[in-house]
Amino acid sequence: MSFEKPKEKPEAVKKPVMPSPEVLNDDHLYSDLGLSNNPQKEEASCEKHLLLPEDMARTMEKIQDINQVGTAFHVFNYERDTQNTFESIFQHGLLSKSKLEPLKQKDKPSSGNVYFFFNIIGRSFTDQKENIKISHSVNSIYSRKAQFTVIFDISKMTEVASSDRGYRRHDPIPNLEPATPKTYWAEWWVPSVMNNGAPVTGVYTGPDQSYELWKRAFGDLLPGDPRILEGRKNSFEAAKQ
Amino acid sequence: MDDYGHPIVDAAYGFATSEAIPTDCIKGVVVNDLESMDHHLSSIIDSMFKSQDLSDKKQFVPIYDPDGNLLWPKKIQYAELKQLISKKKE
Repeated sequence: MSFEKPKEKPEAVKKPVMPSPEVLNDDHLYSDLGLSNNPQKEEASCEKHLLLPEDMARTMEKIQDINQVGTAFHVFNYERDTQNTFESIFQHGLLSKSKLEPLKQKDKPSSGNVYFFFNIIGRSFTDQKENIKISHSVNSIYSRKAQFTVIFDISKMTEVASSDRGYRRHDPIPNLEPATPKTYWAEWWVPSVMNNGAPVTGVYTGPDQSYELWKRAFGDLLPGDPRILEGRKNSFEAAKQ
Repeated sequence: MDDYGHPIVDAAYGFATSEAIPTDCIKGVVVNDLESMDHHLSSIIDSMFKSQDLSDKKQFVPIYDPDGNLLWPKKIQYAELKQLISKKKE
C-alpha cells in the first residue's frame, strides 16, 4: 500500500499574532479595574481572574478546605508541540486522564497547609505510542524548570461532578483518581509512591513491576476503588491534626 | 492501610483526572521562562484568541511572571496591581 501525496500545497505556517494590549485596553479587559469605561464588555474581561500571590494561596486554601486534598495550582510542562497543547487547553480544558504529578513542595505558609505544584503530563491514555513518547519527556521534568504554570481552580469540580456526572458530593476530589498500574503512567506514579515521592531513576519500569508496586501499596484494591479515596481523605485529616 | 483497611494515600503523589477539567477552571498562566518571554506571551495570547474564535466561551485569563507581576493584558508591577485591586475593593 502506498500513500498519495496531498495535491494541495500545505498552508504557510502562520505566525502567532500578538494583540496589542493598548488596542484591547479600552474595549475589553480592564473595565473592572477602573481602567476602562466600557463595563458592558466585562464578561470578556480577564480581570475577574486576576490573582495576586496571596489570592492564589487563599484559593488553594479554599480548595483544600472544600476537597480536603489537592491544590489549585498545576504546572503545565510539555516539551513538544507547546502551541497546540495550549490551544487544546484553552479550547477544551484538560482532557480526562491528564496526569497530575507533584513537582515540588512550596514553602509552607503560616497556616500550616502544605501546597504542591503538579505537572500535567500528556492528555490521553488512549494512545499508547503517544504515552510512551510523553513518558520519555517526563524524564527531564525534575531536572529543569517548568516553562509555564497554568492555574486551575478546581474547587467547583465537586459540584460539577456531583450534578452532571453522578459522583457523590462528599468524595474528596471525585474528578481525580489514582493513576492505574495498567497504564504507562503507572511506571511513573507508582514508583513515586514507593519512593516517598522522590524522583525515580529509570522511569519506565515496565507494567509487571509497576503492578507489583501497586500491589504493595494497595493490596488487592483496584484503581478507582472508593476505599482508596477514603484512605486519601483519612490521610489528609490525620495530617491536619 | 489504616484501621479500616483503607490504603493511606497522600495527595502529594499525584492524580490522574478521570474527567475533563473545563476551561472555566483556568484562572491564569504564569510564564516561568523569562528568557523567551515575548515568544511565550505571543503563543499563549494567540491560543486564547483562537479558542475564542472556535467556541462561544470567552476565555481570557491574565498572564503573570513568577514574581506576580502582571504581563498581560497590561504590564503592571505587582505592587501597583495590588494597590489597584485594594482601591477597587474599598
